[in-house]
Amino acid sequence: MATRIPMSFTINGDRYEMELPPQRTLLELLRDELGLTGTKESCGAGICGACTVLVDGQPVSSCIKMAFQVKGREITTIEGLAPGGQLDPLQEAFVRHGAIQCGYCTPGMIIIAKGLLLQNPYPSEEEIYEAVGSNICRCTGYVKIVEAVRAVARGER
Amino acid sequence: MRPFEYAEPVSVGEVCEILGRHGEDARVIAGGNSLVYFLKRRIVSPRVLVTLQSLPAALGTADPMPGGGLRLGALMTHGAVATHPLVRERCPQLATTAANIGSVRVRNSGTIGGSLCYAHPAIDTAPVLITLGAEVVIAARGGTRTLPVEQFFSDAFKSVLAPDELLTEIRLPGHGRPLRGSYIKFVGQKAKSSMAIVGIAVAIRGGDGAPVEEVHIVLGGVSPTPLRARRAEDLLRGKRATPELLRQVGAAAAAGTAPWDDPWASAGYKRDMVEVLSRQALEGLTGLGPGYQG
Ligand SMILES: Cc1cc2nc3c(=O)[nH]c(=O)nc-3n(C[C@H](O)[C@H](O)[C@H](O)COP(=O)(O)OP(=O)(O)OC[C@H]3O[C@@H](n4cnc5c(N)ncnc54)[C@H](O)[C@@H]3O)c2cc1C
Repeated sequence: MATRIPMSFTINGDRYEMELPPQRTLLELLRDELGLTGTKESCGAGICGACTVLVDGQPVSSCIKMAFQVKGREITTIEGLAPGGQLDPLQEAFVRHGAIQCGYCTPGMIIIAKGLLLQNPYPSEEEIYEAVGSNICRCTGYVKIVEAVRAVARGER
Repeated sequence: MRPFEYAEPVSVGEVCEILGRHGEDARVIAGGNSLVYFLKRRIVSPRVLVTLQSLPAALGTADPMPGGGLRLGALMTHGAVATHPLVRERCPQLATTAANIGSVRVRNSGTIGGSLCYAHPAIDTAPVLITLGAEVVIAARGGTRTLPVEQFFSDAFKSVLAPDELLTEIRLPGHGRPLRGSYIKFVGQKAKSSMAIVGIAVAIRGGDGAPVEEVHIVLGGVSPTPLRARRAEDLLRGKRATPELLRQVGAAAAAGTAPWDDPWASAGYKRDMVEVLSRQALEGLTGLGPGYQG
């Protein structure tokens, strides 16, 4: 039985070649192997969106993805949005609009919003609600999150 | 998660060979949306996990078939089904259904084949596919077989697939004159990205001012497997729709269901929603009403 299998990934622009047990989830790879703890786990079932990352620019739930399923792909986590500490416009907007309370859902929220804007730079109000509404925030009531995403979509700085 | 052996075959033949060799001990993984959770919870613990990610690209695409039909590779994601121009043109109700499955995260990973094999009683894809007369193509070491989607499910979370079989393709027949249809995913107070409380797929031929020549009504979430409302179909077939007749059809659809109480809805509520929503869906298709308004 092959206990470890070779895998390569591009994560936040860096290339990784590693040997991993096949039963690693993508979330475990990010948090436990690479120390990228910005990505959170909450429900563990692909519902809440706290673990959202981009795979080739598309949002997926890393808690229900096996690491081997994303071999050879490009993965972006919340850490990847601020290379060298320079915040992404979405991160700045979340701060400016106070779209954060406890903060646990925030990385997933920003990543799902990033995925939306990559696909659709000028989303309608409904499209913004649909995207961020599918991730669970139990503090803010979403209004400020939507305001932050809308501001970035409109190019407000 | 229990350790497993990993296999990454590159052809359908190779998948079938591995499945044939390991039988019940092997599982395939498509999107992983449902399976990874089951692995983590040890609800299933295969000795061999067979990933479908390196199969030929055709398993993830839609292609036209002669006579106006369509073949969909089992590995097409819900997102791909929702946006594919051929699906949108030939089976708009399937594209719309796929666009409303789960969240964008679910649609980016979950596959149409995986959703059928998962066989959740309220899966959205199955009722629509059944109303359209879709078939599945199933491969095994000995060859392939074709089966109507209607005969694919054996119980809640169970299909008729043998352990050594792989679902490779879904075929949508061409229709001389297309069936007009719709799907209502009713989630009640649940989030829009949740599984349906009840799902109602209807498709008809005729019925626009003329008698209804052909009618298909298939319900999700109200029995262990997708339920064809045969008595309701019989009431309407060959007749001109009237408000009173559609009320009877809705009542007949509800009468044939066997729902259960769950934390979101009682059995009685689900039955009532089937009655109202199947009537509204048919009113929409026959011009007697606006249809379901959300
Ligand atoms: C949070 C969440 C919300 C969801 N909401 C909805 C919803 O609103 N509506 C809806 O309809 N669905 C919903 N789903 C289900 C989802 O759409 C997927 O279709 C489903 O999870 C299975 O697809 P998959 O490709 O991920 O399969 P996997 O999880 O990889 O596999 C599921 C099962 O099918 C088997 N399998 C997969 N493909 C094949 C094949 N080709 N041949 C043989 N066996 C196969 C696997 O061995 C496994 O047993 C939701 C899922 C999640 C996690």
